[in-house]
Amino acid sequence: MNNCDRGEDLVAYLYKEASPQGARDFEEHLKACQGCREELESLGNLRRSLKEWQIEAVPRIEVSIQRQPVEILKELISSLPAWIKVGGLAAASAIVVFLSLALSGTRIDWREGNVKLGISERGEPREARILDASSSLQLTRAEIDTMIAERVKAVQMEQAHSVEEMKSQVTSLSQQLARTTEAQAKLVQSLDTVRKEQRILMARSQSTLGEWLFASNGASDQDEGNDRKN
Amino acid sequence: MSDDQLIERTLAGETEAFGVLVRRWESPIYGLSFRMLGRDEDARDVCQETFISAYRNLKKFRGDSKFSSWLYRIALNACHSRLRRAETGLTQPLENLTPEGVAVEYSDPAAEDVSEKLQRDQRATLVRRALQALPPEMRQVILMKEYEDLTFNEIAEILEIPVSTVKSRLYTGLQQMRARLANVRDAL
Repeated sequence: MNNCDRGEDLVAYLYKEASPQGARDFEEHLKACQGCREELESLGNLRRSLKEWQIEAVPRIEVSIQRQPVEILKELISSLPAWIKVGGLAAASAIVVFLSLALSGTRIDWREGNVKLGISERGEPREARILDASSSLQLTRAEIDTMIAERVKAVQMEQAHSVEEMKSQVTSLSQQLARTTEAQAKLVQSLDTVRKEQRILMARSQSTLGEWLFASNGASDQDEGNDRKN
Repeated sequence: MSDDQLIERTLAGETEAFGVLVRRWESPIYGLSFRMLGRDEDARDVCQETFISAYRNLKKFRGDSKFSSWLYRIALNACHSRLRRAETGLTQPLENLTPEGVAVEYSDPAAEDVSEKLQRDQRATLVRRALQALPPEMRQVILMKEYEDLTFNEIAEILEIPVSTVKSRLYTGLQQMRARLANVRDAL
C-alpha cells in the first residue's frame, strides 16, 4: 500500500494524461519515492489484466422508433403552404374570439347585414327566464291550445312551402335533363354525319390514288416500249 | 458525416439518419452496458432504451457536450436503474466466487493452445468478477477509462463530476480491484 498522497498525479501519469510539466514533476518524484514506483508498476500490471476481458461479438441492436402523433402532426403542418397556415391561424383566432365573447356573455345580433354587439349583465337573463317561467304558469288552457294551434299552423305552412320549393326544383331539374338529352341526341347525329363524310372522303381518296397509280404505271410501260424500239 | 449533422437531419424528419447514429454508437454503448451489468440481455435492453430515449429527447440535446457523452450518460443512468432494481448477485464479495464459466469468445480458438486459452478465460473471468464486485461509481470510471478509452475530461463531463473526482475514483477503484484479485489468486 502506497502511503504517498499523490494518487491523482500517479493516475494521470499512468494513463499518459499528465501535462508535460506535471509528467516531469512526477518523474522527479518517482526518483525519490519507492512507494510510488512500486504502485505505478503494480497498477500497470493490473491494467494488462484488465485487457484480458474483451468482448468479441457485439450484437446488432434493433431500435424500432415509433413516431409520436404530435411529431407527425407538426411535420404535416410544416409541409403545408404558408397561406394555409395563415388561414388556419386566422380561423383559430376567430374561433377563440367568438368563444371568449360567448363565455363573457356578449350578445351578437346579425340581422339584415347589421351586426350589433352588446354585453348583457349576468343576472338579467336568469331573471328573465324566471319571469317567463312564472308567467307561463299563469296561462289558461285555452291560451295554451291557441298557442299550440298557431305553432302547428306555422309548421304546416313551413312544410307546404318546402314542398312547393322542392316541386319547383324537381321541375327545373327535369327541364334541364330534357334539354341535356336533346343536346346529346343532336351531338350523336352530328357525329354520325361526320363519320359518313369521313368514309366518303376516304373512298374518294382511295379511288383517286388508284387511278393515279394506274396512270403512272401505264406511262412507265409506254416509256419502256419506246426505249426498246429505240 | 458528423454526429451533429446526423442529428440535424434526424430533427428534420430523416429517421434513417438516426439509424446511422445507432450503428455508429451501438458497439461502445453495448460494451459499457455489458460490462456494467454482466448480462447480455440486460445490455441489449439498456442499449435499446438508450437509443429510444435519445431519439425522443433529441430536441433537448443542445450540443454543449458531445453526442457520445450524452449517450453514455443516458446508458449509465439506465444501468444504474437496473442495478438498483436487482441489487442482489452483482455485488457479492469476490472471495466467495470461483472462476467458473467462460465469459469471452476468442476469434480463432483453433489457433490457440488449449491450456493457454483456458488460463486466459480464467483470468478474464476473474477480472470480470472483480470489476462487478466494485461499487458502481468506481466501476463505471474504470470501464470508461480502460475499455472506452475516454479522457478524464470526457468522463467528468459524462458523470458531471470534477476531473479530480474522476482521478480519485479511478485510483481507489484500481486499488480495490488489485486487492480483490490478489485475494482470489492467493485462495486459488
